[in-house]
Order: sequence, then structure tokens, then C-alpha cells
Amino acid sequence: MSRSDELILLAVWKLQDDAYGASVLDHLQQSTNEEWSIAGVYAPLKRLTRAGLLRSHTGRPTAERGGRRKRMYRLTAQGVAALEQSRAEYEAMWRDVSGMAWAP
Amino acid sequence: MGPMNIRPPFILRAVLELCVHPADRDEVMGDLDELYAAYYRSAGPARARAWYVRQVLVSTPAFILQSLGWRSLMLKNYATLALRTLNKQKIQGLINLSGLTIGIALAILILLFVRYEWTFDQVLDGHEDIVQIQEWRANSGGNYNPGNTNMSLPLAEFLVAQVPGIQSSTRIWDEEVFVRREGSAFEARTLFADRQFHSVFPFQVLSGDPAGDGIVLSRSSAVRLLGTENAVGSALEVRVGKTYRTYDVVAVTDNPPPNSSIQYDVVAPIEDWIPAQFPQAVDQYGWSLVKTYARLRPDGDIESVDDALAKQYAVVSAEYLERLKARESIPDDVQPATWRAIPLSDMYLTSSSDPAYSFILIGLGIAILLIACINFMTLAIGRSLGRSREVGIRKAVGAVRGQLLAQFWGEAFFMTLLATALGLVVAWYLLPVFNDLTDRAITFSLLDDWSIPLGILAIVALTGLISGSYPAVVLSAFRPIDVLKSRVRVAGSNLFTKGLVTFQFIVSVVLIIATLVMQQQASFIREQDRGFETDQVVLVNLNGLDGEVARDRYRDALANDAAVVDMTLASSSLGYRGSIGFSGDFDGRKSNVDMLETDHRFLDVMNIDMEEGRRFNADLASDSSAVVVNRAFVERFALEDPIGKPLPEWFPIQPAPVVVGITSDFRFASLYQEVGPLMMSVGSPSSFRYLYIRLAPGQVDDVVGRLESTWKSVTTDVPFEYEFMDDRMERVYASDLRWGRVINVASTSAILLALLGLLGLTSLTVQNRTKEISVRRVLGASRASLVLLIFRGFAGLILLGSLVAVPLGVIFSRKWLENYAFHTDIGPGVYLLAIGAVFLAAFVTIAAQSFRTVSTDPATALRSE
Repeated sequence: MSRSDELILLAVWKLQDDAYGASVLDHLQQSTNEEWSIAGVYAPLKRLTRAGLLRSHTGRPTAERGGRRKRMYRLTAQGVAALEQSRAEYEAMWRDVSGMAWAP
Repeated sequence: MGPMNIRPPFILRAVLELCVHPADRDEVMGDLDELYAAYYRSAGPARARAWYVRQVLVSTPAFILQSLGWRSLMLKNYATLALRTLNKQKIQGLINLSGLTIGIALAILILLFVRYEWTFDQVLDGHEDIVQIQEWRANSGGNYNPGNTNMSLPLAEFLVAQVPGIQSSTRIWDEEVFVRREGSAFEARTLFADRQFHSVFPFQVLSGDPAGDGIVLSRSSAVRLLGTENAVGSALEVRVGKTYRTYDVVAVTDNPPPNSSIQYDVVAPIEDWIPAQFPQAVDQYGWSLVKTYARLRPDGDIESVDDALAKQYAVVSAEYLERLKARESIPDDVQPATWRAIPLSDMYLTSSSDPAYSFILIGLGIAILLIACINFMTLAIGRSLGRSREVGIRKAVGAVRGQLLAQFWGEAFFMTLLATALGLVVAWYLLPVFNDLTDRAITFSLLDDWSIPLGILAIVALTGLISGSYPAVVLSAFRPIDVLKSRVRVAGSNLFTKGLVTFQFIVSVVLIIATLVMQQQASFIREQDRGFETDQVVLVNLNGLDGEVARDRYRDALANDAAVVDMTLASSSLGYRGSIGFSGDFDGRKSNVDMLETDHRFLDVMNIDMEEGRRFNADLASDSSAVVVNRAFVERFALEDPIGKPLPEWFPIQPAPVVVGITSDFRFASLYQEVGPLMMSVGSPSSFRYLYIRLAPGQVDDVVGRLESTWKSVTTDVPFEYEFMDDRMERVYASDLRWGRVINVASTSAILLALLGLLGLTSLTVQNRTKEISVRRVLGASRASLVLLIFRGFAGLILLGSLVAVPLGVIFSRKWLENYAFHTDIGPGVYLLAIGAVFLAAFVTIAAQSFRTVSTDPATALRSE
């Protein structure tokens, strides 16, 4: 699982019932301070869905979207487990590090 | 401002929408619209637009890749289906595949041929500015016809120095000479040319400077002669005339492409060749020796060049023009002969090759491909009973028609792609044979330009579209309920299948008729009696030598050679049109008269029959102003008892010559032409262009060697340029024979493909009627009667096809034979033969295929139910 996959899973988790392409992209841009492309969000979303970490269903269209439907995403149990595992790995790695020295 | 009004830039949005896969389109576009609106409100229109542009730029390629990935998945699905069908119906699948493969292989070969023909001499940069200088002769109507292409030596220099529209020019003498390196000699095609050769013909220079002082090699000859492409600076000896000269290699160029009329291994300086071969001709305009080419300035126009050439011709050949004017009735305001600059790229398809060949081949290619497509269609229809259930079930479980269309066409396209891949291999394999058949030097280079890839793409698209059309359109339209209740009967023989099979037989029969007609005509032409003997005659080109001196000296030198029977001189070579003539005016009717100037013994040596009077006699001084005419001359001008009388007063030269003899209408021109009026006279020494040598039968090979060495002992002015007369005659008919063979091969493949289709169709029919056949067998029907039963189903179609084909064949043979003044008569035999051949072939195919089924034990077949 790449870092961007992880970030996307995390975004979906945080957004809970409101996770769809636009909201995930917006959330990612705000938290990483980088510009994300729509294809760069959709391809991982679809891949992670195929891999069983996410599940998707069709959401309600809104006027804002010119009457186009949304595709909503939620984490599966497997997705939650994957996120937690990755978090555990990170915490294990960071445990001994007490602040960064400026000079290596 | 309502949210609906905030919309991203229309065009960008449309582009993106097109690239996103339809299944994801709604949510992707909706997400982007929503985000755009949000940014529009928070950051302003400019930043929102900039953001959107970046999104489109970054995301489009990714979306396209994703779509492609999805499509390849579909293709895999089609491929699986196609392979499954192929595996289930092995015979039909094999027939489909091999038919399409052969059709596509031929189509690829034809594409290569057409490109070769249509780009001949058009590969060099600025090829449209390259011209060849030719001599053109006027006829009595004041129109010019092309004549000699060998020019005198000073002309090229004149072009560059005096004609403003010319940028550079070169003379070329093209000869196979020996090139030597460290004692071992190789034969190499050598162009002796001027320094400016490479500015006229800018073949790509790989290394060195072609304008330098030395020789230029083509890449392949550099490798052959010196073992390396980096040959610049190496030394080679080139045989110029009688001695070897040493040259440095100054440049290596790419090989001239095969469809260039300029071909060479070595380009060597012509300045060294002239003194070795023709020192006396250096500044003489009277000689016809070298090909002369020039490059026009980009702003130079060809008319002004032609004007300058005509003026120069009038200056240097004033005396000759006077003579022509006196001898031929050319209008006063027309210069009887001139030089012209002819664009090189126009020359090939107007003189060397006939554009009709390309069209004939394209037509044949389409016919063959169509037959292959029809095989695909008829077999698909034949299988449609099985497939219709598949369609019914697919529809019943919810497939929409679009998906079924895509599936059937997908299968057809997959088969076509497979056949194209195989066809490329087959075409590559067959190319040498094809080159041999068409007498071309086509290379298998597919990616030199766009024409071949585009052509192949078009072939694939059309073939796939046509062969998939029936199954896709008709099968997908079935209503599932009908199919599943077996209410639709599509298998076996419906009207559409019958029409297609009939069409195949029409094409086959027409092609057989065409083949037979062309072959019959070609052999008819060649078997005509010429009225003179062509066997054992060698023609030597005098190339400007004084004919009588050459003949006498040569005859004396060969006096003791028993193989040489006799020699004679003439102003042209028999078997061609193109002798000089004038137009006679009789009773207001104009008629062209060909003139042949000979020595006294020509009629004796060539064994030409005299109908009245006598041949020329060297002992009679008066014969120098006498003529012998042919029978056609007497009849055309209604001469009564002309022997011993001068020609009538309409004859352009007065006092008119006396007729001493009348020959039979021997075929002095080509056998394609009718025999027109001919007047033969005793020519002046300068009028002779060919020395005819009659040999004793047998041991021809050693004689030629003796002739050549003796020639060199008699004259060193002119090379020994000879040809056997019957070879020369054959050459005129060679292209007819060759194209006869091409049509032959094409019609054979067409018929084989049609039979292949029939084979598949028979196996399907038999398969569908196994039960019926078995029951008939049990009830006592004989095998032969059952085979006939199956054949009867097809016999009607073949008969119908033949009925349509014969009138088409009649039209074709009429049109074809119209091209010939003398042609064979096509009797009903040819048509009957064509129909009979197709009938027989079809019967054998059907019988062979059905006999097996008929012969199996009926009990086995019935029990398996």
C-alpha cells in the first residue's frame, strides 16, 4: 500500500458518511497542502474498492453537481484493519525518536 | 448567483468528459463541477479556471489509459469467444482464417505494389525539379512524339552555362564495369557522370563529399568492395575503357531505392571515360551517347527551358532539320525535331509502366478480399442456428442489442486482426514470387511512410466491418422468445446466403473467362506469321557509325567464319513502330507511310516474300532511286500495275522514285498493329542504325564472343551493343505474358477461396442434415444419390452464377480484344470451359466433403441423438 493509498483511506475514514470523489480530494488538498488531480484520486479509489478495502454505492444527485450522481465510499472491515496496521507500524517506528535534530 | 450558473470552461470540460470512461463519467464530472463551483466562490473565477486547466491536463492522460485498459479487457473477451468458436468449429474456423489470411496477404502485396508504382522516381528531395532531356520528333500533324533519349556530350554543359532556368546538370553513361581491389575484380554497375550528379540526384550522403575528386559508392557496394561502410579515403581501381584507373572513394551514399530509375554501385567521373571511349565526340553535337539530366531552379519554369533547347537544336542541327523538312511533310511553322526537358517523375507511369496495371491489381485484390469476407459471412449464417440460441439466452438474461452487435463485430475484428498478422507473414514470404511475377523490385518496407500502415488499417476496418455485418446485424435482432421456441429458421439455405454464394461463383467464372481470353490472345499474337525470319539474327546498334563501312570491314573480317551467313543494314529494327515515315495524300485521304531504308541485300537476307517485281540489285545504279513497296501500299493508294512506273505526283519528293517490286504484307511493325503502307528504299550511309547479322543454325554462344572480339578489331569508336532479334521481339510481348500470369494467379486464388467457402458450407449442410441423410440411407437410398442430393442444392446457384457471369465475360473479352488490331475469336468453348471447370471443382469439393457423412453407418448417427 502506497502512501497516497493510505492517505486516501484515511480521508475516507475521517469523512465517514460524506466520502465521495470531490470531498476526498478537497480534504486531501487541505490536509497535505498539495494539489491532487481528480484522476489521481479516482484510480486509487477504484483500485482499493476492487481490492476489498473500500465499498461503494451510488449517492444522491445534487443541484450543485448539475444533477449528476455521486459515488460514495466507505471503509470495509478489511480497510479499517489495513489502516490500523499501518498506524501501528508508524507508531512503532516513531517510538524511539525524541524530536528531530537539525543536523544529522 | 445560483450554483447552476457556475460552470467550468465548456471546451475543456467536453474534452475531459470524452476521455473518462462512460461508467465513471457521471461521478467524475459531477465531482469536478462541484469542486469548481466551490473554488469559484472561495478563490475567484481566475484561480478556479487555472485549477481546472491543471486538473484537465494532469487527469486526461490517466483517464485515457484507464479507458484503454477497459477496452483491452473487452477485446480479451472477444478474443476468447472467437477462439472458442474457432476451436468448436475447426473446419469452418480454419476456412475463415485461411481465407482472410490469403485475402489480406494479397491486399498487402497490392498495397506495396501500388506505392512502388505511384512513388516511382519521387523519393529524392526536390524530385519534381529533376528533368531528363529527350529528343522529340514532329509528325505531319505538327505534333511531337518522344524519340531518342541519348544526347550528345556538349549538351549538359550548354544547359548550365546558357539556360537560366537550369541549376545543375549531369551526363550519365551507365555500364557494368570491373572494379578491382588488391588484384580481385568485381563487376559493378557504374555511372560515369559529371561532378554535379549529386546535386541533380541528392541521394542521402552517409559520409564524405560527393562533389570531391574521385568516386562515390553506394552503401551496399562499399560493403561488397571494401568490407566496410566507412570507405571514404580507400582506393579502388575502376576499368575505364581498356585500362584500370585508380580512384579515391570520396563519399558513400545510401543505396538508391528500388523504385528509382537511377541505380548504381559506383559513380565515377565521366571526364575520364570520354577520352577513353569517344575522344572524337567531346564537342560534337551530332552524336547520341549519354543520358542527360538536369535540375531546374526552384523558380525556373520548364517552358523557358524548352524554348532555349529548341533554339539550340535549330542552331546545332540546322542541316539535319533541313533534311527532315525536305523528306517529311511537316507544317512549315513546326520545327521538325527539338529537345525537351521531361520531368523524371512523370516518365515512369507514362512510358515504362502502365497505370492500368495498378487498377487491375486493386480490382483483383478487392474481389479476392470480398470472396474471403463472403466465406466468413456464409459460414456465420450457416452456424447461426447454434448462435441464435446463444443470442436468445443472452438476451433473455438481459443483454441489450448494442452489446450483441459489439460481440459479433468484436469476433469478426479479432479474426481479421489474427488474419492480418498471419497475412503479413504470408505477404513477406510471397514477396519474392510476386516481384518475379510482376517484374518489380519491391521491398518489404512497411513503415517508410504512412501509406502502408493507413492502407492496412483500412483493409482491417473494411474486412472486419463487412465480414461481421451479417451476424452482427441479423443475429442480434432475433427476438429471444422466437429463437428459444425454435420459431426462427435461419440455418442452411436462406436467400441471402444463396445470393452471396452466387456472387462468389460470378466472380470466379468471370475471372476464369478473363484468364482464358488473355492467354488465348497472347498466344494468338505470338503465333502469327511475321513474313520474315527472326531466328538466328543478331542486331548490332551502329550508334552513329557509317553503316556501309562498318558492314564491309566487319564482313571481310568475318569472311572465314562459317557461322556467319550474311549481313545487311537498315534504318530501324523490324518489329517496332517508330521508323520514320511521311503521310501520303491520295484522293483527299491522308495515310501514313512508313519508310525503311536498307542496303541492297536486306530483302534477300531477311527472306521477305516478293509478290511482284524484284528485290533491289546492287549492280543496277538506277536502284538507288527505286523503291519497293508492300501490298498494303498498293491497295491503300489504289495503284494499278505500278511495277516499273514512278510513284504518282502526290508523292512529296519529285522526281518520284520508280517502283521495282511489291512485297507481301510482312509484319514490319509490332504484331499489335495492322500492316500499313510501307516504302523501302536504298538508304544513304548515314541513315543506317542497325547491322543485321544472319547466323548459321547452332553454336550461337561462341559466335557472339567471336562477333564481339572481331567488332573491337574493326572499330573502337562504338561499343558492341547487340541483341538477338527474337529476344527483342519477345520483349515487346513480355509484359502481356507477365500480366497474363498475374491474372492467372489471382483468378486461381479467387477460385480456391470460393471452393474453400463451399467446402465449409457443405460440411455445415451435411452436419445439419445428418438425421435426414441417415433416415434416407436406412430407407435404401444409395450413397451416390445422396451426394447428388446435396450437390443439387448448390448446382442451381452455380448455374445462376454462370448465367450472370457469361455476359460479363463477353463484355470483358470484347473490351480486351478491342485493344488489338489482330485478335483471336473467342468461341463459346471458352465460356463452356469456364463454367464446366467451376462445376467440376464444386462437385468434387462437395462430393468429397459429403461422401464421408454419407458413408458412416446410419445407425451410429441416429443413435447419437
